[in-house]
Amino acid sequence: MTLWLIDRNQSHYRLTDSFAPAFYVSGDHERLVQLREAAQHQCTELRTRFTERTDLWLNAPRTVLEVSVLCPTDFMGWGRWVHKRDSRLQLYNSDLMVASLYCWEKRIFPLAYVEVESDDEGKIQSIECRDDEWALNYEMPPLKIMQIRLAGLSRIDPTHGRRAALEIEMDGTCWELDEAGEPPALGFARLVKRQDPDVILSEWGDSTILPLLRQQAERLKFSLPLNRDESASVQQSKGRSYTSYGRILFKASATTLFGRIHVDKQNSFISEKCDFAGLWELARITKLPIQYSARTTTGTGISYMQMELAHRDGVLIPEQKAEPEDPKHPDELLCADRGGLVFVPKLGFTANVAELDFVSQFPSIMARFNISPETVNCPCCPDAPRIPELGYRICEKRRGITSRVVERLIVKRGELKKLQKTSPPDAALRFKLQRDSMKWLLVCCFGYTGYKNARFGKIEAHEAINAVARETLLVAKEIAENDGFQLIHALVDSLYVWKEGATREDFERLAGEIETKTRLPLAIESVYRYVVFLPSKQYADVPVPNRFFAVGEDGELKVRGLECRRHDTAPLLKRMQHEALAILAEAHDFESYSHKIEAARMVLADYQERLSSGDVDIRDLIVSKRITKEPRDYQKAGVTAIAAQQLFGSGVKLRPGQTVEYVITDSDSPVPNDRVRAFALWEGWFGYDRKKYAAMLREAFEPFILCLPKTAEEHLLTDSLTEEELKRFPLFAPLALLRPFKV
Amino acid sequence: MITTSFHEPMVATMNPLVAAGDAEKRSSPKPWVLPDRALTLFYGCPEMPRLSHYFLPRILVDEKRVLYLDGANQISPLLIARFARGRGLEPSAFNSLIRIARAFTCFQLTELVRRVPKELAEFSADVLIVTALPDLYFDEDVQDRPARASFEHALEGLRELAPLPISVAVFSDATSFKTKRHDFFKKLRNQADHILKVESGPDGSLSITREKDTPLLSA
Ligand SMILES: [Zn+2]
Repeated sequence: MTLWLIDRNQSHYRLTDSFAPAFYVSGDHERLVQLREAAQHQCTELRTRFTERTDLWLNAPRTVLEVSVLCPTDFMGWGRWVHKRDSRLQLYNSDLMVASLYCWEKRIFPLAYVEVESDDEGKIQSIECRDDEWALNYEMPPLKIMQIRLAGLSRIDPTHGRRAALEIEMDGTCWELDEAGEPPALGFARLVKRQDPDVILSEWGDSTILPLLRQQAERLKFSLPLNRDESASVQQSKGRSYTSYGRILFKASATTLFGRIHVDKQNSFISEKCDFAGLWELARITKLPIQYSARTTTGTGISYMQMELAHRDGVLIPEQKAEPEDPKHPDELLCADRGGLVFVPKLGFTANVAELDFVSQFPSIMARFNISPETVNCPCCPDAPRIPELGYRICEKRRGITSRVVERLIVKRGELKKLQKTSPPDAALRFKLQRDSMKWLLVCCFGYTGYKNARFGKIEAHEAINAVARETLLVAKEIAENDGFQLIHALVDSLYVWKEGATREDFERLAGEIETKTRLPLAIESVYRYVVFLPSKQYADVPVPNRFFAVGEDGELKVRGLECRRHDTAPLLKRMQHEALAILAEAHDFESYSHKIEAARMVLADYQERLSSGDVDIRDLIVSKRITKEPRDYQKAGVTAIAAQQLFGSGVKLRPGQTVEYVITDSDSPVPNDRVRAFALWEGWFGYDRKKYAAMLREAFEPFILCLPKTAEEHLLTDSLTEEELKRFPLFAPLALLRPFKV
Repeated sequence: MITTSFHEPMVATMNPLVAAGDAEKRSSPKPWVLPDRALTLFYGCPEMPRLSHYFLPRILVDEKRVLYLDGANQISPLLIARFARGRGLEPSAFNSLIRIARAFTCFQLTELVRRVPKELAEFSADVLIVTALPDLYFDEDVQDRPARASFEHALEGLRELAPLPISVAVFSDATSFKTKRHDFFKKLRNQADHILKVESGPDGSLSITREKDTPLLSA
């Protein structure tokens, strides 16, 4: 194993350690004996012994053959060797990441503060952790961070043809490399050598910048010092499309380094949401290698935390998720398969509404009621109490692995929250980001109990959690109604309640009562001055959850389901909605709302005017959509399909799940290709479809007037853009030219 | 989540079709009846897992019991309830005769098949229905070697059921997959006693062609 350490003076050390990770094999004794003999004859790289480990589902010991691999890099290869020899044998712990296994065994974790003793050759003699992954406020290694990106608009995927200068930033100094001077790869190589960063933080580094720089270096026949560890080569994985929860997504390619960390902001959910503070926190508690942690789903993080506990308990970690559903009668299945409970919202404007949320409801249920895949319908507790509706039993003899994991996360989040409240702004922000990263772990925890690839998943655990959540919400509703509150809306873990003249103290009393009865933490998310629940976009009288806006006591907005919350909306529409909402947020009651809407209409009018006069930056009109098929497989000429085909036609390789950005040019054109233009192929002489964008603006404003009497909305629906105006103004706004970056 | 919207029009289109059928192509006189004590493979159109529902009424009306291993995650308890009501029965009459377990990974489906003898001890089914075999084993997230091993174990599990008094029906949509694991389907064909190819015409009609018919030793 190679370990990279950094001391407080920013000096770094490359050390090595011996480590023999082990996997376990179970099956017929005869077959195991044969395997053992084969392993002994094979070579000297394996050590084997018979031992006992615990079966997760049966909670009983099982005799297994332990196979220790002396060369850790061959660990997975030996697992495959066993399978190839005898496919009837079952393997456990055989496909775990060796770096994480090393951390588990040595009781260390990424970014931990450690004390190491090594010999003259850099071989580790002893390593001791002087840190705690559950610590709240910890010392971070003094990392030297280099940022690299392409000049210009960062949200446009450069593989779609955008080329720009390479910008490099470190400690406040910026460099710009373009084709005008020496080849960018040369300049970059020199900077990396001189600055010797510990971390390269890029935007589009995975798919574009690093691969292009490497290609250029290769062409010019010099070595790009991306890795600190010269004995290893840069790892580059291919991008691929995959399906998750019915959606087609795209996992971008990855470029990862040795002796240095590369994080691509455009390919890292967690660093995008929670910055470095969140990523460091995640790597520390999940013990996943940092570069992997940055790119994987938080579900993998949870999975590794579960597996670490299992490993410590001597529980066998199955290679595949094979634990199936227990057979049920159709009516039982129907009952078990129900999701969260929803009480549809009361449409329109309601003043003085409190939102009460069960805090981390699903994880809290798992922790409080010991619901974990292996504790549901365990073989050891036939008389245990049963889950409402479903009748599933929950083990009373052992604490569930998932319950233990989420419990620790919930506690740490709670402590960080306290710390956040009493800390100066800088530290408070860091604690918030740490908390947020754990929130993402907790969010996926529940989904993971039923997720098809979760190692310790069991659908019944998922169903049991849902059933308890439904029961909890029903109890809460009953308590609220008994106390004279009206339930305006409820969705899975949150309730919106109203009572004439209710004060915050009244709402707090209610929350306390519900908390006591349900034994689950409940908090007042906000007492809103007003909430406007909106109908479905298709049917004006059908209420839908998650389409509303609300204004808190302090004027803070909560918006769900509007265009400004969506990733694919053109920035112009987003900004208009934000500005209009900022005005509406000043209202206190229905009367003042009716006044404020007039000022908000001025915002819309202003946007319409700028649109019709051509005074709009083309980048504000970019719509981003995820493609669900290969460009050639689209049958209908929808706008997304057209844009995808334009990119495909210009040589861009697009895969399902990737995003295309385009501008609507003439949505009614009989020639499909004229309807939209992929932004990467945009040229100044294209014009945008002013009528279409004007209609989109009006549609985006509509949610704000839906709660008003009809008369007020009438004049708004008239088209403010006349044919005359269309003729008067120029067709396009000039696009700021980007610098070329061709490698 | 279980959606029922798709099944509604199916009920309307399927029933007359069975009666009308394509007399020329259809060599089986009773396409909705499963042969006893044999492994029957139905394949040919993407709706196969859903079509499996239409075998249920006859079986259940005869008060035979069904164990349904749903690799396609297509089972509709609501449709089963409709079948019962359509015959003037309470849904509970059918519900008590069928047990369902869904598999979301190929490993789970294999495990379900391997557990059938144990399950039969508790619930003595007359018919075993398996959907998405081998479709589920084409999952690209699963490497070739483990997928192959898992599939072989499932086939072996089915072979071990042969001496038992249970008829087995596998519903597969394997032929509409782009995959390098075509041989899985071939192996399943080889193992099947009866193979019926189901095709849907442009007008929504179905035709059923018998491709393999192994006389049973006992017959
Ligand atoms: Zn128990």
